[in-house]
Amino acid sequence: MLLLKNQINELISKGDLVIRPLLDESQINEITVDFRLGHDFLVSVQSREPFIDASLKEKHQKPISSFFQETRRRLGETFMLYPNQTVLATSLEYVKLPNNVYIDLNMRSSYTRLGITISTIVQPGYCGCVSLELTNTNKNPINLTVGARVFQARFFKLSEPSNYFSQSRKYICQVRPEASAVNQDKDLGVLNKLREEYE
Amino acid sequence: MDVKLLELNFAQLSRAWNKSKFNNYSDNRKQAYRDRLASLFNKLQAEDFSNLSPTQVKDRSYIIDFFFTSLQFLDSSTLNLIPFEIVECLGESLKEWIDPHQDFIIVTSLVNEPLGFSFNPNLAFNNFLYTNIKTVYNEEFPQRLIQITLPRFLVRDYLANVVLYHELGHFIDVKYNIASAIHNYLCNHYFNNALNPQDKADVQKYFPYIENYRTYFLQKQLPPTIFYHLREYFSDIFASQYIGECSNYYLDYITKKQAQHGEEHPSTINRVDIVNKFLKSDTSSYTLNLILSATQQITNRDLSIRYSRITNNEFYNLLPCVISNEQQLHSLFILGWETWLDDWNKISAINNMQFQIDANQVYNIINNLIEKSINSFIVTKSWEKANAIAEESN
Repeated sequence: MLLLKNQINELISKGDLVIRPLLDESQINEITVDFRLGHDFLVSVQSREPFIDASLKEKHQKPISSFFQETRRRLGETFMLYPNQTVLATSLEYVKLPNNVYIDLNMRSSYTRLGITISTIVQPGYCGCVSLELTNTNKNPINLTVGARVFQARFFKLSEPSNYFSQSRKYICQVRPEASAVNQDKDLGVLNKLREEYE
Repeated sequence: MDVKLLELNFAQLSRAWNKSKFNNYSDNRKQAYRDRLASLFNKLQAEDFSNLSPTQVKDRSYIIDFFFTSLQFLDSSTLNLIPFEIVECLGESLKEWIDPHQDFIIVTSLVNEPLGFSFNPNLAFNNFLYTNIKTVYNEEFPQRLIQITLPRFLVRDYLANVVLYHELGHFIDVKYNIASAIHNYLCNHYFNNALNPQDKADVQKYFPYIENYRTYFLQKQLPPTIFYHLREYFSDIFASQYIGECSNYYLDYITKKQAQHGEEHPSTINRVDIVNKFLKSDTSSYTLNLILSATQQITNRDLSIRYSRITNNEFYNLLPCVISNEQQLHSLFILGWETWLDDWNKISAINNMQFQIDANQVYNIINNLIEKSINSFIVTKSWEKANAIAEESN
């Protein structure tokens, strides 16, 4: 069930939903909440390694974080997003979701029109700044302002609660973007065993 | 110094400057300092060193050294290298101890040593340097740099970085010559037998070697140990105004609860003891009272508890804390340490975690939440300020 403004406000006033800092109450719209671009960016860079290994095939693989460079900006400063570059960012706001509410994220229309896309789901019970994987599909670089409302979230209520911490989590209370931890997926270990048997 | 060596020195500086001159600083004052360096560099570059006298060569050499040190600290003070969150906290406490017209900038240099916390007074207080630059090149630096060094891999460690308050304490001490004044007073009173037995015993407790120095005092050859130890006691108390007993926790760890004093540092036991007395407002110690009263007289400011406790520790709920004022800002470090020293099962239980939370996770959680709490405070304050300016201009 999609939550409306008064339902979102009610969750916030009860403390079940936390959004910090909420700089302006007008961020809460009729069916969405606007989120702001955070301070921190992980920018993909070309490395001496020929490729990012999202498998466990290579035994001495470089960590995925080595393909990204960290950079920070202060509120009001700008960040240039280049065409086809993958940039990891976060929301300025720290959120904690109720255990029966998930959010669906999209860029605000003004930014989608520039050619920036994201599409992410944040699970019920999540706590941390929201991770953004920004890609600019425009042919031109786009200068973004830290603190600007760049994306929006729709809140959906589940019929039953779920436990975010039913299993160990790779990302807890994340406040800066973190490079993919795909190599820690347990499934990859199992699949890798299978591949080794083929060889 | 040979002119050729000066030219070598300048060539090295040119290479370093080429790398640093395009640095961007979010702090306008750092940018202004960099601009002054740029102007100074142009003047150095325009000069023909071969016509200089040996004294002039030496003067230029000092200026180049100053330039290198400034670069070393500015280079490590960019947003990407040092979190502005920790610098903001130190800046808030600095404001309370200097007059508004005094322009000091906290800058950091990152080193690879695990215990590499230190303060260097050179760029803040070496008037000879600034006078020399003014005389030779007519360049003035309105800002002075407070040089604090910290371990590179601990820049985002808000538990370890409580030590930075202690380093700031060293800056305040040097600025007002507090330890130096106390040292003179204490030694004169002690060695001239002007203390009552109880006070004398207290001095002997914090300076257990002092009686051995009596002859040196009479010969006017007193070693600097007492002075060095006073500097540490002062800086410990200064830090504890903002972070309570947190510096003791880290001190215990890095000094392995050292029971013996060294040349420059008192025993950890005594350092912890004097801080605890200060925090408990225990007025029984002559040494502590002397430090408190001397500081008040010299600076016109009180050493006092300057943090305000956050009553609701939301870290257990995996939430950053909402900070209402600067006093609460400092107490985040206390909250972080308390959470770290507490039973981590509380975090698991409160958040219904079906797995055992480990030390690495708790370490990341605490550091992230402290950083975000400070960050939200700064962001909210900046936002309100920007809105007020926008409203005024409309």
